[in-house]
Amino acid sequence: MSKAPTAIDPELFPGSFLRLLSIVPAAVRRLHAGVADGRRAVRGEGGRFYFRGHREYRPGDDLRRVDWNVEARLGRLQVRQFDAQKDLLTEVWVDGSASMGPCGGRAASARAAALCCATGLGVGGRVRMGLLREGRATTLFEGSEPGHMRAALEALSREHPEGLTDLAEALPRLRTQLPRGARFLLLSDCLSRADPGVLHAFAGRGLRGALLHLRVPEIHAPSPGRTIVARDAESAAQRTVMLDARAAARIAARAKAHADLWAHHARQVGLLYLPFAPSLSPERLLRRLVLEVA
Amino acid sequence: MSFVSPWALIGLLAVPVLWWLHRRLRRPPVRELPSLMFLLDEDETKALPRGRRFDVELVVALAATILLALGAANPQIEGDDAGRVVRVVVAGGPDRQRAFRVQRALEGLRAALGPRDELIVVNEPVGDPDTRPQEAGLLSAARAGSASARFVIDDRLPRDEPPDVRWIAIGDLSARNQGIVAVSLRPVEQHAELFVNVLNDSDRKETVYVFADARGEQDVVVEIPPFSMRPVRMGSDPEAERIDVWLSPEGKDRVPSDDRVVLTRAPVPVYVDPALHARVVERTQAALVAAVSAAGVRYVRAADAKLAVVPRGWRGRTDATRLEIEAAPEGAAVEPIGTGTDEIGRGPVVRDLATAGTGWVYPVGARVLQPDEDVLLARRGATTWPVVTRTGSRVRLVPDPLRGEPAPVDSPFWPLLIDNLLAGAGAQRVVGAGFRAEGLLDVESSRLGRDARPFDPATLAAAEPLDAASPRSLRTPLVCLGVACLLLLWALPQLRRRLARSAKTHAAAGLAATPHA
Repeated sequence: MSKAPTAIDPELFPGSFLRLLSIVPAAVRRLHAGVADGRRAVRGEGGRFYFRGHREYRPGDDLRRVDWNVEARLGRLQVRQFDAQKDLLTEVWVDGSASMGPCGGRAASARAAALCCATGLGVGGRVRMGLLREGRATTLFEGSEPGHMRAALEALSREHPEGLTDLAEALPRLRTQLPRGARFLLLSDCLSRADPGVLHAFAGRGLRGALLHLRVPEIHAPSPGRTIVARDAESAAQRTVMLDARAAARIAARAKAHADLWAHHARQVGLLYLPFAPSLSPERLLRRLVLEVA
Repeated sequence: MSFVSPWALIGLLAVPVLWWLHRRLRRPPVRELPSLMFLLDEDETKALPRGRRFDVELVVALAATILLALGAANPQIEGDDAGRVVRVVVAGGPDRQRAFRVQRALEGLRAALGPRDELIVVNEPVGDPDTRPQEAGLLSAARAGSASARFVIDDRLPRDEPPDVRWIAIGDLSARNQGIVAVSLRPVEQHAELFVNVLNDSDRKETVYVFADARGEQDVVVEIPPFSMRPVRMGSDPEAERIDVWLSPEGKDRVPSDDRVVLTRAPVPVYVDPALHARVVERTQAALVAAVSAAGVRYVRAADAKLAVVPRGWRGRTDATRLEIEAAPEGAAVEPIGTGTDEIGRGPVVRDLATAGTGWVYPVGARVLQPDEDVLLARRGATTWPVVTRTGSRVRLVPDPLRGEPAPVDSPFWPLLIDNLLAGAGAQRVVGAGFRAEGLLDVESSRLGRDARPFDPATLAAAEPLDAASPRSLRTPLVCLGVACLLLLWALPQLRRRLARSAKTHAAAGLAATPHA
C-alpha cells in the first residue's frame, strides 16, 4: 500500500464530482420521501421487526402494540417493544488489486466507492469502507456524518491498485467482520479465479446490498483491430493476440459468461448485481445506487 | 522539368530513414489490461505482420516528406508555348492559273504547323496582271514584322536565296510565252533602224511573226530556240510620231501583254503623291519644285515631265484631285540621255534593298515606266509607298528598313529620291531618236516561272516561337500538399482517439443495458 500526503486527488475526484457528492444527502432524502418504514434509517425506538421485550402499558401507547396474548394469559396489559430499525452501517468494500487500475478502472472504482459512502452517510447511518487485497480485508475509513466524506475521499486518493485480491480467501474473512443486517456494497472487477460461489459465505447474515461489477470494455467488449500485445496488470504476463473480429467476439462471450456467473451467485445471496463501466457517468451510477440499493 | 534548388532534394534521404524507423520502431502496441483471463484461450500470434501492413501514417509521412523536399527544390516545368508565327508572302504574277498551286503550297504549310502556330499570308498584289513583283519587294514584304519563319511563294527561285527567307517555287514547268523584251531605234542616215528583241520562254523552238507599223507594215518571221532571245531588225521612219510593234506567236502564249509595244514621242507626265496631310502640300510642292529645279541634277526628259501632288486619301482617280505643278522650270538644262542602253551620268539607281544601308528612301524596282504613264504615289500602310501608274504598272517606294519610316517631306534627300525615280523611269524607256516605249514590260515579267520546289517541312522545324515559354513553378502546390499531409498526420491520431472513445461509450452503454442491471 502506498501512502501519500493527505489530499484529495483531483484526477480521481474532479470538481464536478465533488459538487455531485455535496448534493447526495439531499438527493437521497428527496428520493426516499414516502418510502415505507424500514427502508431508511430512523433514530430512537420504533420499528416492527427487532423485538426487544414487553413493558407495562402506559397511557398514550399505541394500542396496536398491546400484546393481547399476554393479557389473555396473564391478565395484564403489556405492550411489545422493538429496537429502532435503522440502516446503521453501510459496508463498502473495494477490490484493491492491480487489476482495478488499467483502463480507467482506478478512477471509476474510487468514484463509485465515494458515491457508495456518500449514499450511506446521506441516509443517516454509519459507513465503513475497506479494501480487499492479498486475501485480507483492511478498513480504510469509518464515518457517520456527511461531513466525514472528505476523509473517505482522502483515503481513496491514497490508495493505488496493486497486488492480488484473492477473493476466495478475502471474502470469508470479511464475512466475520460484517454485522448482521448491514448494507453491503462489494466493488470489484471479479477478475479472479475464485469460484463465485464464495459469495455464499454472506448468506444468512441478513445482508442487503449490491455487487458493483467494474467491467472495462477493453476486456469485456474489446474492439477488433490489429495485433496487440496484452500485459496483465497483476502478473505482468504478456500475450500477443491477433484481435480480429472473431477473436473479439470470443473474448466478449467469455467475459459475459464470467459476469453472468457472478451475477447469478450475487442474486442468490440477496445482492443486487450492478455492472458499470469507467465511462458511466457518476450521476447515473448515483441514481442507481439510491434507487436500487439505498 | 528542372529544379531551381536541386540541393534541397537531399531531403528525400529522409524517406528511407522514415521507412527504416517505421520498420524498426513500429511494433504492435503493448496494452495493459486488467487481466488476461479471457485472452488465454486465444492462440498467441507468433509472427507479427510487419512487412505488408498498410500504415496510413507511414504513407502520409512519406508523402509529406517527398512533397516538401520537392517543393523546397522548386521544380519548374515548361509552360505553354506561345506558338510560332509563320509569315508567307505569296507573289502575284502574270500566270492567273496558278491559284491551285499556291493553295496547295499553303495547305502544305498549314499541315506542318502546330495548333498554336499562326500563319500570316501576305498577298503581293500586282496592279497589272502582266507584271510580277521583284525579288527585293518580296524580300521586304517577307521580312516585315516579327515572325518565326518567313516564306515566299513564287514561280521562280531567286538567284541568291537569302538565309532568313525560304522560297517555295510553284512555277508551271509547262508554261510557254513569247514576248518583246527590248526595243531600240537608231537613226541611220536618212532612216532609222528598229531593233526588237523577242524572247521565247518555252522548252521548245517557236516560230514568231514580228510586225512593225512604220513606213508601212512590215513583218519578219523568226524561229527562236527554247529559252532564248532573238533580235529582229526592221526599217523605220525617224520622223514618225508613233510606231507600233507587235508579234504573233504560233504556239502557246501565256502573257499577251508583252506582245505589243508602242514607240511614241509624247512627253512623260509624272505624278507624285507623297501621302501627306493637306497642310503640308504646299511645302511638298515646293520641295518637289526645288528637287526638279536643282542645279546639277540631270533628269530624264525632265522638260517633258509633269509633277503633281495628290492630296492624301486619293484612291484612284486623278483628274479631279491632282494638283498639277509645272515641274519644268524655265531654262532648265535638259539633256537627252540617249538610247535605252546608255548609262545615266549620275549615281546608280538603287534597285535592291539589300544594298541600301543608309537612312534614305529608295525607289525599289524603279523599273520600266511607260513614257506617258502617270506615276502616282499612294501610301498604303505605314511603311510602303506603292507607286501606281495609270496603266497599272507600279513602282514601290519603301523606306529604309533600318528606320521603318518614310522620308520626311522636307528631307534633303527628296531631290535624290525624285531623281532616282525619274532616272529609273527613263533609263530603260528611251528607245532613241526621241522615242520612248509604251507597253514594254521588263524581261522578268515576260519570263514565266520555271522552278518547282515544294515546301519542305524540315525548314519549319527549326523555327522557334517568338515568345519563349515561361517556366511554371510547382513549389506552391507541392508545399501546400506537403503541409496538408502534415496536418493529416497530426489529425489521424486525434480522429482515432475520438473513434475509440465513441466505441467505448457505446460499449459502456451496452453494458449498462445488460439484463443483470
